Amino acid sequence: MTSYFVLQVLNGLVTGLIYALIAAGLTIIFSVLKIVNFGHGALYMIGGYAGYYAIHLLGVPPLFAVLVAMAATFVLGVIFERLMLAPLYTNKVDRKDEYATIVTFALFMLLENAAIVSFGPFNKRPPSFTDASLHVGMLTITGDRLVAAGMAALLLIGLSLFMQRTSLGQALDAVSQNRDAAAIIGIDAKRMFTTAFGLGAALAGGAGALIAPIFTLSPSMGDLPSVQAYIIVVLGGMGSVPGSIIGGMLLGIVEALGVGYYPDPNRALAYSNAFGALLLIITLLVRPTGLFGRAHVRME
Amino acid sequence: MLLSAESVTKRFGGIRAVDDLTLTVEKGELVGLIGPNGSGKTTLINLMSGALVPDGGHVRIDGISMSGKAPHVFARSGVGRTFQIPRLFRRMSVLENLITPALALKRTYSRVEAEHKAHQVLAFLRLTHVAALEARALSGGQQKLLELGRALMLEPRLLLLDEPFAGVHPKLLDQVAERIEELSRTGYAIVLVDHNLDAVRGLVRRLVVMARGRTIADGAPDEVLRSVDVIEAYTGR
Repeated sequence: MTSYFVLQVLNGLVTGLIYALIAAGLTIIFSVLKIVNFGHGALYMIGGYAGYYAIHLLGVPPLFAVLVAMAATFVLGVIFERLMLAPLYTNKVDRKDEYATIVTFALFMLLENAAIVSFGPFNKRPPSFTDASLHVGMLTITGDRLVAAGMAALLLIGLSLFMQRTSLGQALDAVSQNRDAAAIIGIDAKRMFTTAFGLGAALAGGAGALIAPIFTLSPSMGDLPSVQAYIIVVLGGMGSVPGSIIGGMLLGIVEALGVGYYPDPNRALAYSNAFGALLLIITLLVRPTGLFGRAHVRME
Repeated sequence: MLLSAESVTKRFGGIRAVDDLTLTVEKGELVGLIGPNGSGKTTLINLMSGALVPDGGHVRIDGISMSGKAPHVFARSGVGRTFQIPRLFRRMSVLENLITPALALKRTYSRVEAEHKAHQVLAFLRLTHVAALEARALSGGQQKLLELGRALMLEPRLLLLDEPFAGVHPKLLDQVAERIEELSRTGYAIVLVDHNLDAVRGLVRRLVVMARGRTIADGAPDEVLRSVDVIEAYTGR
């Protein structure tokens, strides 16, 4: 019974770390640019395919393919931000919130439909990271899950160190707290917007490449994780990177335990998202600003 | 000449907030800029720091046109500024508020060097005892001092101080004034905008008065305050 519980928690943690990776990217974009990126799930999907084709066309080892996927989605994010989001920083756009919603939603539709045309509608599966697996009593956790969790944890630790210890991370934090103040101390806010969007896209892409060997690749694979990411961003407290990391792990574990202990195993999986929603509702009832939330932020 | 605003104009709709105004600031000069509400003082400060782009005229630093340049370019050219209502990094500590500009602007600074410099600035501003607090926990006056300190971390050549005395507790007023005077003595060029005529008058050797977006007087404080135009602008007579 104990090993079953441990297995559920480990499984939840793996999914949670991937969720956290996606949500951390979404949070960075939100806190620096003050926009919700509705195209985030599509960037996650593109990351998955980028990893797949890096392995099959370039012969890159599966683990390095994750880095290739992150680099590819970073570049894609930077190009999109420069072309489509740059007007937000000028007076040419009057209704900035609405503009950002429309163009990021357009990014989602464009990428998902382009993926159907380019990669085909059928599922693809990249090779495993490893054939090894971990046995907990009678139960087994696959090596792919462990590698994905380990890599996601490393990326999240790296992200935290980058945000806290580097001048670029500090500049991103400064812009997220006050754009005017950041500008008068010599920080080029536009450069930070580009960096933040590229970084957020890279984290989503990395998550997509990590999850690909566990589940499969499909053009619509980003739909559900992006919804989970929005839940996590609210759960963790909008704009808080540590909040999104802890929120992601919490959501993964709650979903896994909910499914694992639901009385009717045939229906348990169908209720997976309901457990996440329940967690969100309870959290917001107790802490309306989320776990690490702060006052309402909106487009400046 | 350190900074010059040459025939600058800024319109908001049909209103000319700054109207064909010319102002120069020399190296090491302490200039007081006063005027009734709505006279265009803050708009002028925004133009001189890149927060606003003039509709006409030029702002030059060291004779180089800064037209259309972003605020961070002005900061990198040696212009530091404060706001009427302090715009701090409220969730950073007081120390982090000071370290961030040093790291952002002077990439050659190590974190240790930035911290050392930040502690010097805190000591100068008598804020060492609140170094570990979040900026949002400070009083209004302390926030104004911290914002001044953040500008000093840039090692600017020109400081634009927008109403540094407004909303400051009377006990802290002298401290703010002393710090400004000390900075002026050490060679900083300062443009000081404030409504507190007594405080400004006691500090500056040159006073500029604005009304309806234009300069109506420019000279020694006592002389300027006796000017008929200035009395009219303030009293409406």
